[in-house]
Amino acid sequence: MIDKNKFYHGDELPGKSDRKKMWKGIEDNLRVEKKRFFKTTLDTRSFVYGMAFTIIVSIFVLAAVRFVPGIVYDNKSEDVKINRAYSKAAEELERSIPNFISTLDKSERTRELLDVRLEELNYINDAINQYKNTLRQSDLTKIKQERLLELYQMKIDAINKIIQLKGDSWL
Amino acid sequence: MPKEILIEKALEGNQKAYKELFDKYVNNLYRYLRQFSSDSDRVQEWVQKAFIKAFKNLETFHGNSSFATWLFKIAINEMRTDFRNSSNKIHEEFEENFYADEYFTNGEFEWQDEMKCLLNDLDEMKKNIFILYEVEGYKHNEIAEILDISESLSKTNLHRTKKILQDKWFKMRGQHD
Repeated sequence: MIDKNKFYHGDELPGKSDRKKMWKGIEDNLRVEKKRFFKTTLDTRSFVYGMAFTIIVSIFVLAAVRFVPGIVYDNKSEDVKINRAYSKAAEELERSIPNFISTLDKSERTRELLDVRLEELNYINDAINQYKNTLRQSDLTKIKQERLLELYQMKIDAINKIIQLKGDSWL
Repeated sequence: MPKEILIEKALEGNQKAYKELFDKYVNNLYRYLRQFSSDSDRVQEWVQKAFIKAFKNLETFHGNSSFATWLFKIAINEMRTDFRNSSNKIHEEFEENFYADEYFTNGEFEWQDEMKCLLNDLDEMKKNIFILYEVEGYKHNEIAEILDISESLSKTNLHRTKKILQDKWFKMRGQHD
């Protein structure tokens, strides 16, 4: 092996200023990399955390939309529950009216009575819709709920009267 | 501080540790690369780029080879890239013309200081192998890793290089005698 000190000459070594210059270049580059690291990596991290947060929040919102109404409903007053039950029952009965009407006899008397009953039903439906529009979801005032209940009861009575037309028509 | 600790600290982003590693290896690396160019600015650039690249890829250094081997490999690649980009072809020696069996047999190679200028006439590969083996003390397997060649190529080239140097030196001496 050749002696390094014999092979290399003294002037082939970097001087102090050369070493300083080289290190400065390296240091500046590392600094840029650090900034880029913070910018890129942090940006990437921010994005990932942001996405994760959005997903978690979305899950919570979906869960809230799914479960809270049920919970809120369960916590509502009995009046509201009864109103809803009446509303559902009335809608079910109302859905069956067209088929029922087709089974009635076509006598003039029956038709006249049917027209009156249908007009009455429409009048009650208008009243219900008007009242519901003025009544906000969160408005659980007992008096207002009771009034709505009366309207649903009137609607069911009106439908019952239409159904009774079948019995009358046999007369 | 041992270099393993320095590397560990450097990996954590400790710039002082970077600086210590730089101080430890810069002289060796610089004077090695200086054999391939007399332009000191150019050599400084190679050294700088080598350290920057080494620091950027420090996490890929797994200690399979020595840090110096790894650093030399990066530096030589930077040098080669620079040569390629600047179309700087080192003069290729037509060794057949200088091959002389009668002047050289295995194990008789003797370095002479005057041979250093003859090295500059050799191609970069031979020069690298010769200096890495004869001066820096690397083994052929390490040279193979640094230069990305096979061990046998390293050995063959070294053998040829010694023959060429020996022959050229004798010729040069003969001219002066």
